Amino acid sequence: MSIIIESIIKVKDLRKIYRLGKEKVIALDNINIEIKTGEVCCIFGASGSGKSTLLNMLAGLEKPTKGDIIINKNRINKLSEKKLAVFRQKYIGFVFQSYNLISTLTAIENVALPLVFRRIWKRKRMKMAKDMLKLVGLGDRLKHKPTQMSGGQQQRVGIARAFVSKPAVVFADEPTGNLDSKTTVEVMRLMVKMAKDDNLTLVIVTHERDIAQYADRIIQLKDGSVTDDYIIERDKNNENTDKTEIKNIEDLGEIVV
Amino acid sequence: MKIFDVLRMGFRNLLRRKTRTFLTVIGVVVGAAAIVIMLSLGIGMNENLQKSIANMGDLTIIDIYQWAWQPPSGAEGDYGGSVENDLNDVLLENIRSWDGVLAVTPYLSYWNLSMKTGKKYENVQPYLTGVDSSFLPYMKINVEDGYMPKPGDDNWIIFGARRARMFVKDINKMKPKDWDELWSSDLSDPPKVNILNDKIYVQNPDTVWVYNPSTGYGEEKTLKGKIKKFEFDKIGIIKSELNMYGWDENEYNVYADYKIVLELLKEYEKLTRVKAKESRIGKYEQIRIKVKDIKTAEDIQLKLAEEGLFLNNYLAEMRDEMQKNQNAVQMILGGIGAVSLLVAAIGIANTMFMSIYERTKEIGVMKVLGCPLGGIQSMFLFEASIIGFFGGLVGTALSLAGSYALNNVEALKKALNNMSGGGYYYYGNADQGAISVIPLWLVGLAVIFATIIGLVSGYLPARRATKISALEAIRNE
Ligand SMILES: Nc1ncnc2c1ncn2[C@@H]1O[C@H](COP(=O)(O)OP(=O)(O)OP(=O)(O)O)[C@@H](O)[C@H]1O
Ligand SMILES: [Mg+2]
Repeated sequence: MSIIIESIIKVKDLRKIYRLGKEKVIALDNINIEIKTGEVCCIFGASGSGKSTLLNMLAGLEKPTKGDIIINKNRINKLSEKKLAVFRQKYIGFVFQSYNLISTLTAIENVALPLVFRRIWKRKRMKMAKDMLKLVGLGDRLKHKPTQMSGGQQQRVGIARAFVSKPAVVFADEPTGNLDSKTTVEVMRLMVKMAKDDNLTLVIVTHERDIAQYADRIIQLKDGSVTDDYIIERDKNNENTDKTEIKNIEDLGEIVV
Repeated sequence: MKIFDVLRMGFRNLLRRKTRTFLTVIGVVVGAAAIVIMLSLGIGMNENLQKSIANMGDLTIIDIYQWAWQPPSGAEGDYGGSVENDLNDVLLENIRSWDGVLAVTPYLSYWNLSMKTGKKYENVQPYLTGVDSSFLPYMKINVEDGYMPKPGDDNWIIFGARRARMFVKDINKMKPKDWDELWSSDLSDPPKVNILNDKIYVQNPDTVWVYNPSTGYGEEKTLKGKIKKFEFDKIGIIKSELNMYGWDENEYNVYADYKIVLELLKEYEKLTRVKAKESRIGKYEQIRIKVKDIKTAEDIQLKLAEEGLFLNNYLAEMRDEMQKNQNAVQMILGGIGAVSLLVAAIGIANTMFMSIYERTKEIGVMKVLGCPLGGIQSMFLFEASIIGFFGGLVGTALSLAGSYALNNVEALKKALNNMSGGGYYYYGNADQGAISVIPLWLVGLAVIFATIIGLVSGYLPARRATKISALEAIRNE
């Protein structure tokens, strides 16, 4: 007896071809995926396998060559630039590998930026941003500029920024790519926790095996195609024991937290 | 995005690169100051020109002369010449009925007369100019003492300031000293002979000079028959007013009701048996028309030309010529200003493009975070217009100071006068006004215009900014 959860992301027959002069690069081919609301999904694969390409198209940053992407009932590959902006504003949060904080803005202003685009009044959005920064443990760094913070701190600001407007889906492309292993653990835990707390869908791109352990679902890409797609089912009762039961995992091997 | 946030972010971006913003603003300051100063010079010149034109005569008065000068047409052998207009009562009444005509008067002069007061004082060599009393207010004639004729009056006569002092007891007994006094007595002293409480009698004299066509000379002739005496009891003295050349045009004049002048003429022609062909009756020397405004004056002039009348249009032509020169000078001045403003506009566009290239990644990030395209566009447009606005503001302030300097520093004033406006003294403009005039509307207009220049210069960069791909956020440098 399982509850049927609506898929928030549906990808149908997706293909992406880059043309470089006469040469064609098939970055993605024949991708069919559905991701459910609240799922923490990891897109995993080697460098050049097409992970970023897929993520960018899911987030509406790039148009597919063929196929459909439906997010929250919006067929985003058919949307105009203008509508895409509105779509991203409403439904999408994004965490960048290189943080991409606006250098002239303070931490709190950076976090409040998506709320500016949502036309939320200054006092309200500053409060929301402040709460968010407290949540990521940066309550004492509100007025710091990006250059005055460490990489881990900057990425936490980036996460706060992605989650502040409680978007339906948060995308993260190599969010820990520039961080050391200790900070990576902190950042990953933080993201997953925030997604779980509000039942938001989180899609993380990574090439690091360790990252995959935080996900409910792993989609493995190789040379532009899905080679594996498996769901990790955790034992709800034994969650605190950190023991994870994994199904359908052949390539990953044992994961112990 | 709320407008307030657009403004806030725009300001922040401008302050981020203070030096560059400052330098760009300086460019606009120079451009705006240049155009305002140039326009102010043009306006100053124009005001002086208008003053000169106003001094040249009342442009709402049209004169038609019996003998009009026709300039050469340009054809071989045509040196121009005089042509005759038939100025009669029919024409007069016709003109009177036209729209926009406030008053019209014929001119009829008469010099074959004797003029005496009731107490037998005689005027020295008088002559009469007959006009319609309704026209007097438009001739800048003010009666200082005595009676100011009103429309419809008859038996009125008014004297120029000196003419009123030219009554003597006996012309034949005058000594040189008396003559001297006649011409040079002080017009501010009261006249020796008071004519205001008296009456004036005018008539054809017993003996007149008559032109004899067979000899080609004038000859004295004694008039036979009864000669009528015309009595005037409404007498005034015209206030002496100097024109721009420094003299009083009416000093020696006597104006009287033109119908009486006509009576005198008729009697004279009857008594001397002037042939119908040579008669002056029904032929006025001049018709003056006062119209509502300058626009009407032009219409009426056209209409008169259509009636087959020849006009002496020196004034209008001269004015047009001056205006044309003026416009050319203004165009050049405006052009210089416009070029510097154009340079400033290019500066703004350049700054905005640079700022976009710098901020490409940032714009990409903002797009990924859901910044609406309109928000990006308005942000850049706002930045560009702010540069324009402040540039315009400071530039205009600067030009106000510059204008003050031009008008008040003698050396500058002289240099500029020699360069451009000096020639206007030629037209008799006695008091040269300010060289540079900045009316309030120019201040407002300059600031608004500079802002619009900023806005326009910012348009292409702003469009470019909206076209930056969100992928720029992901791209690693
Ligand atoms: N703009 C582009 N033009 C041409 N080819 C591209 C472009 N972007 C990506 N590719 C190609 O598409 C393929 C997939 O690239 P993608 O960036 O998605 O890989 P990735 O899985 O994210 O790799 P990494 O882990 O190194 O980030 C690569 O072969 C790449 O060369
Ligand atoms: Mg990648």
